[in-house]
Amino acid sequence: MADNKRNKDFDAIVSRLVAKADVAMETVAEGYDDVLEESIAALKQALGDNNTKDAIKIAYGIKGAAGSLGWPLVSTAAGYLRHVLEEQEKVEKIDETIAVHVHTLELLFKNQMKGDHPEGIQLIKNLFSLLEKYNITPS
Amino acid sequence: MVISANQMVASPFLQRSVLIVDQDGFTARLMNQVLLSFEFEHIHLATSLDKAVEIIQTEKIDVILCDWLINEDNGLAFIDFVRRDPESTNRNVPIILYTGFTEVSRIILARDAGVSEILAKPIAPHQVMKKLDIALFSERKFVKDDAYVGPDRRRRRGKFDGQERRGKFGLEQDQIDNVMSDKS
Repeated sequence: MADNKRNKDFDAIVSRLVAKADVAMETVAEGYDDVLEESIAALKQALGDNNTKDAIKIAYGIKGAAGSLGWPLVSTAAGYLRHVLEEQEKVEKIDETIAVHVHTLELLFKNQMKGDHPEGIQLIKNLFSLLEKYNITPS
Repeated sequence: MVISANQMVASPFLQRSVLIVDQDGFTARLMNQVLLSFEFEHIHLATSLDKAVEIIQTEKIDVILCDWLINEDNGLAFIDFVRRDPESTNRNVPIILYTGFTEVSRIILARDAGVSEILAKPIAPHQVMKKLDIALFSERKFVKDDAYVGPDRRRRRGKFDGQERRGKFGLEQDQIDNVMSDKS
């Protein structure tokens, strides 16, 4: 009985704290569009400079933040790009493949494809097909 | 965890101290906001391996939330320091690794390095809460031998059982949890 009460109280506390954190995340998300635009520009710059290490870091950063802030498809595309960059010796047409990923990121952003946007999902499916073609889908 | 009557309405993190290790300023800010909302008393932030080592050696830290990628180094280097370095002063501290690297090979690497929990990105408050609950409040033995230093992998579930977030790439969170429990 006491244990049930304690668990019930604990659940109430964590629910309150999680709800508070969800609101805080929404506040952070309000300023994220500008950050995302800058991150995509920085990603293109790093790729243009052939700085793969920085490009991987930026893609990784986009993947982590975008998915938390209402851009799950951008997060997925950035994750795919990070994987392509790490596995690039296995990719025959690497420049073309990278360009398609960057273009997809730009399309998703410019067209504000937040959430599970149907056209965005199709763009992600196209990218995944590319990964399958080169047999670099993750294990 | 035994919660007294006075603590019932208060955050269980009120007197706790946490260290965030993350090279990405925005993600670190995001995690900081989540932990502020959870009402941690002290939140320390390190954006480099050196700073992380300095903080863990000088501050009282109850739990570490660490990203995989720290500048030029493998993120596991920090975990290796905390768990195995003779100079380490806080070897048993719970470590939650949050990462976008969710391929099974990487999850096994992290598990064997001695992380307590792995949290798949993107960051979701209910998942952070779930991992903190398990890392801080479930009773787990700490194992130290030649092959492994870290929490016992035969884990007990925490009290909070929030909705599972489904991964978009690599392993999903529930699959990661299985690998962490040696069920793979």
